[in-house]
Amino acid sequence: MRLDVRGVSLSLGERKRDARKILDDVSFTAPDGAFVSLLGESGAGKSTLLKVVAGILLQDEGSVCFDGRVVDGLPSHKRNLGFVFQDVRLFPHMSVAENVAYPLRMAGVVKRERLARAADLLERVALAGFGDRSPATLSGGQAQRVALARALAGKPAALLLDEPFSGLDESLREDMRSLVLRLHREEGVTCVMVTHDAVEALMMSDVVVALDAGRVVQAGVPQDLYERPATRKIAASFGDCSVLSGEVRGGAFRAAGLALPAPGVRDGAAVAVLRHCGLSLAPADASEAPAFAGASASGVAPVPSDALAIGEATVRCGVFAGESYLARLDVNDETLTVPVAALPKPGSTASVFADPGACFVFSAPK
Amino acid sequence: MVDRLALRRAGRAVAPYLLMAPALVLVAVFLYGVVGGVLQGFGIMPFLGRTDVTFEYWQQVLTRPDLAQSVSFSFYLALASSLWALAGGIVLSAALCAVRQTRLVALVDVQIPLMCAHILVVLFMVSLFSGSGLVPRVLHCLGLVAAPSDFPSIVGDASGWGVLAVYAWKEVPFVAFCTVALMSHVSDRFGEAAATLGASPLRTFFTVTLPLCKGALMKAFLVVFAFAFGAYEVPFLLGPTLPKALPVLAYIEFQNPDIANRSVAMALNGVMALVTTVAAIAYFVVLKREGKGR
Repeated sequence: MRLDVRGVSLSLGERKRDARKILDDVSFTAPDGAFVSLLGESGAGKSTLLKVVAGILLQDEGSVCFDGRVVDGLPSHKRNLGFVFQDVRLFPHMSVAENVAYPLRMAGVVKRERLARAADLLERVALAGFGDRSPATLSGGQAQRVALARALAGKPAALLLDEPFSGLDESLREDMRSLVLRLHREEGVTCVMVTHDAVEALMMSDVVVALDAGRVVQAGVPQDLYERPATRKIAASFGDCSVLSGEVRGGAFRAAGLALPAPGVRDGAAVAVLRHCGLSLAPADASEAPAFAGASASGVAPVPSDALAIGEATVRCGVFAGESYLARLDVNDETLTVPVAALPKPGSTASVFADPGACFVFSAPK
Repeated sequence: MVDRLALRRAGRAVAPYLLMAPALVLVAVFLYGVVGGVLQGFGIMPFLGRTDVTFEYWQQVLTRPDLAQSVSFSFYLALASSLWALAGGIVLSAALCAVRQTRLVALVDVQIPLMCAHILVVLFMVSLFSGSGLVPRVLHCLGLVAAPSDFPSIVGDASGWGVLAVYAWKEVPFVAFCTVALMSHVSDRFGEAAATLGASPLRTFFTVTLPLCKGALMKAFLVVFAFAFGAYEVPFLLGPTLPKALPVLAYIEFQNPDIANRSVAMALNGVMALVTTVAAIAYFVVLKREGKGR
């Protein structure tokens, strides 16, 4: 099913005068069978948008269309959607099998048939034999898998997932992501998932829709958002990075002793997002090389041949970070963090190199 | 030298008992009343010089010709009013959840009825439904009854409908008060889930909301039942002459000028206590089951 959200706006509040705009003219499309992620930080309006799509909340303006048909007049229970909530919401007074069979019970399927389908679905989410158990006896990961099976039981036209992995341990998340993608592939169902984890959105989605303060700020394939982020927040959401304040003059960003190309950015106050994975250090003076690693010059991470020298900064300290060390450099009152192979000497001056594809400059918000 | 650690330990050991003291005083007063009443039922009244245990009063009570009728009538009043309260409470609670408990609605529908004394409700029910009351006169004006006096009397009617009406007005909001918070939570949290799984609001209510509120509703039902079984003032004022509700019978015996008759009243209270104890046990069984379910 192709899902279209067109110009949806919604304000929420106890009274009209206290109402706050949660969604502001939101539009996006989830192509038939696609996996779409709604990405944004807390309060961006992602879950609210998902509830509007499900018909739980009624929008003030705009429409929701399934396969080109406007469904604004359809109540939630007639939209034929599956919904997986962040807090699972398994019915505690029903067994696991009864929970999974619930959509079929509502559809009028006879008991034997619906329990057989529930057993089949439980097997597919690796919970065979759990049917008679109470939801209270399940672990977080098991409960989330039951919720997933329940959402799919009614053969929904689209599956909506509201941060389905946020309550799980990191080790379980990867399993659940694989399971969701496998079921998505097998069922061929359109999926819309809310997440604040940009890397998760990259890994799972065909399309990512980034929301900020109730507005869509960028939508496209994951590579688009990663390589050409439209905002500072999107650029900074993909893994570790440093954010520096500075100024753009004549197409170049400057902050203390650093300068970055900033084509197309208007002159004035600006911020630069520098992803750690694209940064490297070299001693400003070759004779200072040992200072970076104590005894060995080879302690400095090798500088890639296509890296751009962006200036010099003073090393404040270095910290151990497991696979590598991190050098903290002073840039005005801010910190630039660069991964290095060995602990650098505090107080030494270093040349900073950057992969241009990992540095993004944006005009500072007024 | 003072062992400060030992002092702190002693303080921590004693503190819970000190904090519990006011509650323990209340329990002690209650137990004193119960034990005193039970002993009086067995004829022990030291202030009259009676110290021997006797089953005479219990025998007298249990062989009374009007006891079975009184117990049945009290049981009927308690069961009917608690069922009415339960049904009305569920509807009121669901309505309050639907309107999101706006303050005015909650005030009018729940808080004011809860604050009104039963005696006050009896007065306005009488002023509304008695022969000269507003409702019979309006019905007469509309031609629905031949005369205001044809309207079933609220006082002394054998069906006890006046008693039931007072209890309904008072206890429906009580049941709603006991369940509305839970119902609102259940309806928000699980109602949304059920709706996305294809359940209409009505089916959501019957398959999810109501079963999940069962414990709270059962507890409210038992409280109303025990109260209606043991309360005397409403059946005393509005109930029929015969049969008399059990608490009314006990009250009349208690008011007998012969103080020795108090033992009969206490034996009647003992019968009431047995029934309400069964309700209390049922309450704790529900409480325990709920605890296990969590």
